[in-house]
Amino acid sequence: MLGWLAAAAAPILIHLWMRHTHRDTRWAAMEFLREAIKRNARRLKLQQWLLLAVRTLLLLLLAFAAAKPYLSGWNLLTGGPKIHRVLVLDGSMSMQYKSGDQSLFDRAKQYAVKVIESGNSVDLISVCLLAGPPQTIVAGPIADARRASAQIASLEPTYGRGNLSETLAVVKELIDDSADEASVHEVVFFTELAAHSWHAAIDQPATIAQIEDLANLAKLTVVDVGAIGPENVSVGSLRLAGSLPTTAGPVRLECEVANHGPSRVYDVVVQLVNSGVAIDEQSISLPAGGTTTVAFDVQLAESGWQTIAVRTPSDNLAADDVAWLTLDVKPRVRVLLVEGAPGAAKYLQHALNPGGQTSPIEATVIPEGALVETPLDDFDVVFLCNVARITQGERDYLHRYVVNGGNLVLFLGDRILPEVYNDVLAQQQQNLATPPAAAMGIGRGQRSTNLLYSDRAPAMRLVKQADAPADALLPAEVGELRSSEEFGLDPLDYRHPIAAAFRGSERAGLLSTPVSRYYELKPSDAATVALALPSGDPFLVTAPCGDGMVAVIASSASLDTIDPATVQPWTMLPAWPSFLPIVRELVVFGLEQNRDANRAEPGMVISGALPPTWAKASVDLLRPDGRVDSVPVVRGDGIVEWSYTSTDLPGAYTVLSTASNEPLSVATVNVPGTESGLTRVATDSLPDSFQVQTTTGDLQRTLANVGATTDLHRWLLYAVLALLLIESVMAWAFAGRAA
Amino acid sequence: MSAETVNYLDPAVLAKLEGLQLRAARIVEGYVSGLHRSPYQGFSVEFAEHREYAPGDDLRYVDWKVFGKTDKVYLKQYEEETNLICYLLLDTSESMQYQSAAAPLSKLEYAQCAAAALAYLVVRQQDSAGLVTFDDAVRQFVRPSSSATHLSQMVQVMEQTDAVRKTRTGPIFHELAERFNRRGIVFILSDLFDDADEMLAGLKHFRHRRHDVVVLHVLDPAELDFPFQHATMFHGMEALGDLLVEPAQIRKAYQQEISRFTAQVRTGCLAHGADYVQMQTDTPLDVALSTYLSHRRRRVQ
Repeated sequence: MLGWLAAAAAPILIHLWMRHTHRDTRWAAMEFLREAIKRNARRLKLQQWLLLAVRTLLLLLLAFAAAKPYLSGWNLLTGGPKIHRVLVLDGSMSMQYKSGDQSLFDRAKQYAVKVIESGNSVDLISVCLLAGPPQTIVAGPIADARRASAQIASLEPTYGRGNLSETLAVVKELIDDSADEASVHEVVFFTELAAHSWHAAIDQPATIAQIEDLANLAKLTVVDVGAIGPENVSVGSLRLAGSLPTTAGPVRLECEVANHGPSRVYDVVVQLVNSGVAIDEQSISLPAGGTTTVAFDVQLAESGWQTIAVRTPSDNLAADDVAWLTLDVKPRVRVLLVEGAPGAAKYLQHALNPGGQTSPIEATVIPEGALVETPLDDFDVVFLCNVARITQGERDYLHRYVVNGGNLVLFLGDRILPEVYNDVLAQQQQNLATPPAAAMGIGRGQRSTNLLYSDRAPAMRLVKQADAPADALLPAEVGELRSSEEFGLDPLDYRHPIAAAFRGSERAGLLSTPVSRYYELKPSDAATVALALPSGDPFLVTAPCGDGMVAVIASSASLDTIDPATVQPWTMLPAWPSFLPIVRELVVFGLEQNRDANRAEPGMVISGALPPTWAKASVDLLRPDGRVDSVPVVRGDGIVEWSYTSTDLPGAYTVLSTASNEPLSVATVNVPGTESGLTRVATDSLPDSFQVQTTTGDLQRTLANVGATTDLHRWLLYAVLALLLIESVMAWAFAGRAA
Repeated sequence: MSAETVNYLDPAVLAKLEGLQLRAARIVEGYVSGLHRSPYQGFSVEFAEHREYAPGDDLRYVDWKVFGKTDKVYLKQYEEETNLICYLLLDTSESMQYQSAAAPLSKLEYAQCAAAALAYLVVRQQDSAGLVTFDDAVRQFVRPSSSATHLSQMVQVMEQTDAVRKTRTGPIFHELAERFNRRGIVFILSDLFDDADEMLAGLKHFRHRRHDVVVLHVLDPAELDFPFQHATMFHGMEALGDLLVEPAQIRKAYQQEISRFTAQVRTGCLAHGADYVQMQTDTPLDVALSTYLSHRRRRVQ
């Protein structure tokens, strides 16, 4: 700046210097020279002053134009107040879509940096990522444009969702925090305007209210970086379709392949990959916007943790071209049948293990008194059949088992004491068996992320509070004993997975299952009614509990439970054709619930239990990128658990045994299917508070419409050019023409 | 010194004048004879022969002695000689030392060459040439003569100039007009950087004494064009002080001034019956002399 000011003084210095750097000559016609000067003295002096003024003004203007960053700092150019600009980059997975050689996220970064560069040096900058949950990159606000640009340049898109509502809340916090430092605020969103993130701005009143609230504080601008006519084929929802993950028989794997593009796609090769090796593939065609289910039947030869993936050819959005599933494959699924009375589990045992050693389910029957002595970790499902009462010890024992991923199914009967069930099993003891991770405020399935950068605030954890896991072992309060005159069960539109197995299979007898005596069930908030009685009373209720599942059936599992009034069994269900599918689906559902607990989205917390004998303070966790993280172990009341928050990548996260490096457990993280849909919201449907700028046109024009950047320096340069022209003409007129 | 002498009488320069010399001789002779009677009475006349009187002849040339002896009227026939006296007035003031970068000679050197050449030309024609050097006073005065040795003397005098003083043409011309008691042609070789009115008054005096006056106005081309481009400190000759000037800005005004001056001199010369020839020091001498001779011829015609 000082250099430019010195340059502005150049004409004066040159003028003075000229007096010392002239040429000398002797001259005879001095009288005529003197007379010429005398006659033109006034004109010459005026011309010299004019030229000096023009040249000085020229350099001054040049200095001002060149010194824009400094002058703007003094508000000499803008004359306006200091602006706090919050740059919000859409970091949702769909921003990884490649349009040309550049991903949408890279384009967003490019524009964000340009906005920073085109701003004034004193403007304050905050940066955050529209994600789920949002990430504050530069809490600031900071005036260091270079630093903010570097932060933006280092950003990578996430594999998660974009949560607009939460992001707006974070933006408002950033504005509130900088209220003392700047009086004018601007929020600039760099986004593709994908419907899955922005629909909330259109159809969710709470989010619309947030936007209006924010618009009262700041100018809102959306820079649309979206692609035109995006094409994308995604694969997701890889699941075990109604079969058990055992080596005893083939398993069916299903996934959903969707075409999100505007035109039909042909010959899409869908590969099934087990432990990195493609073992099967299918070729499909999909209409525009179509979705199809692709099923694979495979025979798993080895037991143990196995990571299955389904993939489609890489396209412009590669992140959703792979879906992951981990299976804890066992030789047979083991279930424990606890009889409250002799023979109470007889029909159940036959239903679960009809084929002896060839059945994929191995059922073990014990009397109720042997429950606490039986190690439950060896079993995948525990059935309690007409068990009269459950002690507190038994309850705790069962609760720990379920919370750690076990499944508990309660068949009622004439021996049970409803008040005991309600008192003991329905109680919620927060301190008893609450998972350690939950004690930290982070539960399985919750999201966690770190504040990546803050200019002044200390690092903190942003946690989304998910629904609190149900702790009660009883998904429904047991009411009074009732009788029913009508036969049959209501599948409730086959919404529940257990009932869904009967869809289209009316001959399985579900609709005609006779139930004449049952307990009224009052489901808890977290519970789901799978089947109901014709009276509308729930018959089968399930609920998650920790990492496991609990279910209660309103009637008995045995024909031996007789209604004294009619001298008939409470229900003919154990002998009915629908019994076997129901109980098997209960097992499958329980195990699937267990797998669901190990399937998360990026950004969610994954956790798992360790053997109670685990002595080390940490476990090694192998990430999808090959990195091994040491994860601390949390202990509490006999539970040893690990939890991991940095699930930023999709894929398998494997907890390794220290001794053998064998996987102790594997959790998979899959990209959210909603991010694959690239449908955009119409810009005119956004609230009027938003000014939408598209990037399909001229970059400078787009940037000129963003923020309050001044182009005064450009006019200064124009003035410099004009003065250069004027100076040349003047010099020519004053001297050249005379010559 | 000898080299400069050779320069003054450079055979190459004079060889160029050789072609003109014959013409010049005819012009001079014609100038004298064409008048039918010599305007310059008192010049030496040698007797050649007698011839019989014819009606209309001037009775002043009748040889009365022969008439007394032979009773026949004869007229004396004379062999005429050219009787031109040429006064060369050479300005040796300081301003005549100016020489621009583009000029091969200073004004003084150029004027010296021209004066010497003229003198040589005059002496070769058996005419008489005299020389006066002056600045603010008459410095040297060489009386007119037509001898060959006289030429050498004039050249020597011309070389002995120091050229450090100012010019004062007016009083000097008056003084010389009084001193030149024999009529002739007065060549003035000067830049005339002096008061024009006084100078013209001096010329008028020459004309009053019935001299023919030829003003050879010697100027450096830079003094007319003012071709300087960069800021220049002009150190005035003849103690006229210094001036720092941006030439481009003053060029036009200066050219107007110098043009006004030369026009005034030219007009004044013509008004007083004097010939005016502007000679730039970058033009060949023969051109200058030829220009003069052509002027002279036009005048004779």
